[in-house]
Amino acid sequence: MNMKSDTKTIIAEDVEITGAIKCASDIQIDGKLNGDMTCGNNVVVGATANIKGSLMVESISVLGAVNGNITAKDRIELKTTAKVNGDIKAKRLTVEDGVTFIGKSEVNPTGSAPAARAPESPATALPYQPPTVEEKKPGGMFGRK
Amino acid sequence: MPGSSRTSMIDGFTSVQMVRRAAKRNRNGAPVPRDDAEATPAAEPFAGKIGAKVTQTALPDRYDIVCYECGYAFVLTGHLRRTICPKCRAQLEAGATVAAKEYSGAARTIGTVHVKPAGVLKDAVVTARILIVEGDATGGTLRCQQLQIGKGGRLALDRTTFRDLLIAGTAEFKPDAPVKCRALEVKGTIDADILAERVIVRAGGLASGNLRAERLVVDDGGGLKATVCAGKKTETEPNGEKPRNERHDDKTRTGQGPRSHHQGNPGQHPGAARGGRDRTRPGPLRGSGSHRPDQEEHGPATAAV
Ligand SMILES: [Zn+2]
Repeated sequence: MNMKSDTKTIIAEDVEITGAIKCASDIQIDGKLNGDMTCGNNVVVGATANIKGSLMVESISVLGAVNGNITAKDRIELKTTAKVNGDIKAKRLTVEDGVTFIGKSEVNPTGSAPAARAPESPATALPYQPPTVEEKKPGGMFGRK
Repeated sequence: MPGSSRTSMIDGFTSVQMVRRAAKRNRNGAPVPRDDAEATPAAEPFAGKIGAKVTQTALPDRYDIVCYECGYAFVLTGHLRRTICPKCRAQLEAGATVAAKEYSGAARTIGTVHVKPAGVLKDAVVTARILIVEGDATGGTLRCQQLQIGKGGRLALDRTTFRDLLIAGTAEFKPDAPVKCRALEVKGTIDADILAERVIVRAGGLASGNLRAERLVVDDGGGLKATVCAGKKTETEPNGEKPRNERHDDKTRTGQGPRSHHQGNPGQHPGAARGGRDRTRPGPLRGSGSHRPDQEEHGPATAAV
């Protein structure tokens, strides 16, 4: 088993680092970081984390606050508690409902334009149908008072 | 014995319960075996294949209807059918209209109007609940609750009023004017200044331009190539400062328009800040369950450049 893949650095909630971080293994940050970070693997920015600096990573999952640009070779995931103030660039992006994000995004997984797919057929086109008259039964099972 | 808890007074409900309990027991107090007809159904709710599609649900469909005569909003439950406006008593047609060639005139329905790829609207006035544009609708005055733009669909935004916008999978929509709506769902491509309450970019979709939304969701595989300001107003604009990518006109965020009496805190509701009425709740074409005094307009939709 490759030891490197199992290695994970955790910066705990009560830790504050000023300076740059460079690491090859996975890293999870729950504390404060004032500085840039370069990581060749997955990064988790925990819900309690606060980062002021740019991040260059392979892939990243953000639950906390990031003030700075994020560049990922693969993917960026902004979870519902994430607060990102900066530009993001990645191959793939997932944003959950509730995220606060101010900045420029450059993510276009499909290239220049989305590939042609089967038509959506939003509704089946019908010739004009004279509407049927159905009297609403009062007090029906789903009747609305 | 269960009858140890004696009551000196019996109300109506308790007496009914007692009668029912007594009916279920014989003289000796033992429970009477029930008939087959009354027996509870088998443990398995349906004998079909496990994982088979359930085709029926208990909840009926609900349709947000806006009267095209008086603008009154109400909810129709069940089948979408011809109905009568509870306010002005006008008969509202629910038939679908398809414009497959040149069309001029007025189409009013609480159903769907579909402008087919070969359809061209010329001086047409269309009022519908759902409007699907796959052809040339630039010559029409359009008003709808949900606007769906398909491949090749064209329209004049300054003469279009809508609440929700759906960019279909093959559509490429590049309007000249800013797009303002309640909910925007992008399955195709849109390049615009977007101001919406909720933006969802589906897999394969791409939103570009400037985007401002209170709620933003990007599915895996969705593209976002834009200047973005997403999040609650209190967080995106601390101390009343504008976010750095704010490009939209201030007019769009001053709460104009009457508010419904039953809505909550005016500062909290997103619809209040959109210059529209609060016929809005999360969920496309859902909500607005209540009757509201409505005016002619259909809500926060588009504005001229
Ligand atoms: Zn009416």
